[in-house]
Amino acid sequence: MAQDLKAENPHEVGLPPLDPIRAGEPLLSVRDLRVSFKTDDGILKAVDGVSYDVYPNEVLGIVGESGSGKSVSSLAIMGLLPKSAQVTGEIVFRGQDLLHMDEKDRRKLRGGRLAMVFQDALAALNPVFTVGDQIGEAIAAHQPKMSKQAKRKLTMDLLDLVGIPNPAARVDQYPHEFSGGMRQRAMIAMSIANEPDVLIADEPTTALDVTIQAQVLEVLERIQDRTNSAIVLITHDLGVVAGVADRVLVMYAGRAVETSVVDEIFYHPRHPYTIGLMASLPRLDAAGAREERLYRIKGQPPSLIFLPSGCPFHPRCEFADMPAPCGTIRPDLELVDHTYGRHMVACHRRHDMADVDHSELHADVGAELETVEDAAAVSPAEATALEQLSTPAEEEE
Amino acid sequence: MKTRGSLTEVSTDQEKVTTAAPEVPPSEVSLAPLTQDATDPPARSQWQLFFRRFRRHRLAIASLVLLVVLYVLVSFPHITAPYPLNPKTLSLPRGPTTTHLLGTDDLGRDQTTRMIYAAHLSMTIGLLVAIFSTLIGTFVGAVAGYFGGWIDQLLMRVTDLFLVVPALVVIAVAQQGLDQKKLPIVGKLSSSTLIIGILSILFWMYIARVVRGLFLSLKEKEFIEAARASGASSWRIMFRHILPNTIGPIVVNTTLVVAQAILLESTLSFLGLGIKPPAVSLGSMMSDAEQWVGTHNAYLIYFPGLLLLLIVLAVNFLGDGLRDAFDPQSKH
Amino acid sequence: MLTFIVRRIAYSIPVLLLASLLVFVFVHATSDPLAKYAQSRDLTLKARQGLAQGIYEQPCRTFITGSPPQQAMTCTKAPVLKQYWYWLSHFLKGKMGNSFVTGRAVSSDLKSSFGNTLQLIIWGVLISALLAISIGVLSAVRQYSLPDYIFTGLSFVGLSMPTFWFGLIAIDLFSNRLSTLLHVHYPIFYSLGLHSTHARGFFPAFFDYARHLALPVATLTVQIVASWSRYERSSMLDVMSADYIRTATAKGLTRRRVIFRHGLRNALIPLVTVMALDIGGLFGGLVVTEQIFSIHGMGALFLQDLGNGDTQALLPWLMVTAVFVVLFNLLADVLYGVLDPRIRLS
Repeated sequence: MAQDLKAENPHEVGLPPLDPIRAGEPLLSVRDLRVSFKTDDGILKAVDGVSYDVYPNEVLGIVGESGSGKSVSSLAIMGLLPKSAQVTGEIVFRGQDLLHMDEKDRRKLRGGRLAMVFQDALAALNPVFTVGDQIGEAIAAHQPKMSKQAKRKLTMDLLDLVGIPNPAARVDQYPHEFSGGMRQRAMIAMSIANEPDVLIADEPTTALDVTIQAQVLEVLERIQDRTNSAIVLITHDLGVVAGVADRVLVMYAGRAVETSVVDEIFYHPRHPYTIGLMASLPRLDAAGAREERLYRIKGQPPSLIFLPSGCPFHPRCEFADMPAPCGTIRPDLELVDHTYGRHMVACHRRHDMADVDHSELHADVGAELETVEDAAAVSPAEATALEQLSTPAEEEE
Repeated sequence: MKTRGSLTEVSTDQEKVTTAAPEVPPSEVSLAPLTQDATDPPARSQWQLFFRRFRRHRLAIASLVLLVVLYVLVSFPHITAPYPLNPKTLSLPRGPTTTHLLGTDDLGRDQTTRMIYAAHLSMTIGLLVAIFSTLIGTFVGAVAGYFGGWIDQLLMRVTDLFLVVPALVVIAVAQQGLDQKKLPIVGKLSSSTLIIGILSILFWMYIARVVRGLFLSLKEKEFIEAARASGASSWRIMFRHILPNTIGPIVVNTTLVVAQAILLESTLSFLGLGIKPPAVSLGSMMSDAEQWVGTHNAYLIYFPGLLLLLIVLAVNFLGDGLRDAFDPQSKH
Repeated sequence: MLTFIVRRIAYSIPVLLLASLLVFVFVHATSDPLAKYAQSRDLTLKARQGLAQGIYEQPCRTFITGSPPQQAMTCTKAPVLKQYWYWLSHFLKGKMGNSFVTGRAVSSDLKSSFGNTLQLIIWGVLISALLAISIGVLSAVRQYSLPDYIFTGLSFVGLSMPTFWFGLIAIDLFSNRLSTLLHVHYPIFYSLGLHSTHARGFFPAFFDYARHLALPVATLTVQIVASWSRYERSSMLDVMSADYIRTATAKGLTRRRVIFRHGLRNALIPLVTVMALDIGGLFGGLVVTEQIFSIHGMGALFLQDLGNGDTQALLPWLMVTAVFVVLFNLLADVLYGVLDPRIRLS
């Protein structure tokens, strides 16, 4: 555990963004965040010491498989975890420590300066209220004095802003009358109703088909231009990050394994896991790529209760090898390069990895092509614990 | 790690049935289609898991023990009962004394003795009704759900009929009509045989509907398609492949029928439409005792009622524990 | 919507007719209402009524028999289906006929019984719904808390207890022992009927009414609350783990607003449906409660008619109660559509 402390130094982890104009104090700082759940089988560490910063006006992409802790950490920021979750560490938002804040103040932040867009808008919108009603409710929660007419006008403006045609008619429709993409737009409209400083978007495009995905991402970008809010974009899809994010944080088994500006991650990935993710992206530029089978990272995401010793990725790693202590010592984030921005990697073989060309990785390397279902190795206790995440935090009034 | 492996098998129950099945020989599917780990003997682990979860449900275990002990005790009244059921000497009701722990009734009969006989009859009726209605209901429900067609139509229409007319009314009419009558084939029935018959007829429909629903959804599953493709006959598919997957809900509902049947029998007997002398049930005891409400002989109502409450409560707790053990997802 | 309702009603008509036919045939096959009165003085009168009501085919022949000489009579019953047709054709014209046994018009008995049952249902359902929703929400929001365990335990007891026993215990304790305890010579709560004759004036009469209603309504409520609160608890638990509840919290709404506006509103949809179905069954289902508290309601009327083998009175009873089951079934479907915008009946 002692090694982890190194990562706590904000200057090592909080990477100044590429564009110097955007530099400055971070809006949101997460320090050594840990979230664990008690299960029948033991303690499940959903987030195991994550630190990152979000600066004004940037898009931070957090990438990882399900179970990597990316959603849980954002729920921790929002204070939406169930009571059963043990949260430690520090979450500082505009100078306030969220984890030691009283519930009333925290509620005022939620949906106000700190907002969240959820995946699967059909489930995330209440089926029995109209879309306009739900957006209006979000406005009223933070601007209680606004008149009914003004609220309705603002609601329609928001719908218009996210690109929903004919807002005047749409405002009185129910979520099930919207198409998938429209619902997600409505969801975004709801989250930006109070012009948040930080908008966390948790897999906002996952349930959508590709063309709609692009439109929704475009809406997010447009909103950022308009409102200057910072966006934390959580996704398992590197392709989504590539188009939108300024910086990227790759998470694995509850920890950050690699972080840098987006181009650095894409062109010079150093962590074998990131390299694997890159290699498994379909590539259009590689000649003859159509004949090649897509690369797959072998094995399954680890159990968060019985984490492999050493580097949690080593059982799946192509490069884990002697004499590197991959199987015994868990690596910390270390600075490897700052030519274009700070590039940090948690890998014992980080220096060897600079020479690996990930475009050369193909199906032969990951010889085992068995179907890897997302989170297939999750035990039921874990499943239950993770399921509870959908239960909102229990607050005392 | 062993326990983890077996837990995994259950949590993904539903999906596993569909995904794992094609590779597994059909006959094994029927035993335990829920395994992920091929090295683990499938049938064993499924039941092991069931017992493991059931054991954790302390209240259900206690209820089961209580019911078994109680049923054994009341099953041999000539040993366990302190007095004969209908003694020659009669006296007035007298409250609990050292010789008659729960007092005597208005004919001077020992209440403990009567409650032992009554509990035996009530519990036996509940058990037999549950067994008969489960056997008939499972068969009819399976056929209706699997084949559909006229059996299904008939089942649904008859259930509609019973939806419109309250169950108590149907039973009361039937009981009133058939009691003390010479019936074709079976002759004159005792009041307890009659009530078992009538309640079974009522409750089998309930089970049949449950089983029908289960069969309707299971018959579309891939592992059944696979069994069908491998040339298994319809009956084999129904009873070797589908039925084992419906055991959980059926057992839970059978338990609920036991509770319902005991309650309904006592209600009918209380109304004078059920068990008649010389037989004695907890309901008919309370019917006899109704006259003592508000007097110092009211213990004649309290004790049989409390015993009945205890029995039905135990059966319901048992059912609840079984439900949790069979289907951990339905926690609430 | 309208076609849906019409179709549902049209479907229930044959079901109702079949139910009435079965009951008619069964009761007729197993009991002869006039057999009881074979020796009675007003036999001829009853027989004439029976004739008029389509039970017998020809005028009954009377003759003198035995010593001392007694009047006796032989009658030929009409075939069952003919009797049924006779009953049905009259019933459809709105003629329910007279009871064999009491001679009173069946419709007037039904009307007064229905009124009494309706009072029980209204009060019982109102109180039960309020209690069940509060208990259900509390148990779900504070799952595994002490109140949750207590209410869950109580509802198990409620579901495991025969209604009549609770009724008898309630009478024993609150109608008799409570008075003894307080040294008064009148029951605090009554256990007979719905009114006393002596209460004059609005407030005394209402107070008297409440004292009569308390125990039967409590008996009814215990059963209903036990099942409704369990239902509401599980429905609320389902809803509170839904994604949209998390969204509502993420908007910055207060916990109260999340629970009551977003949670309860959705959790009520299935509960209201179940409530409507259950209420429909209560019109003919309060047999035990009415019997114990000597309330002349539908259930008590049924027991009386059944005991008399009085098909003439039983069949209209069956029809009325069945119509309410069908109506409330329909209401359940309509309410579902009203409460859940995803399901609009067309």
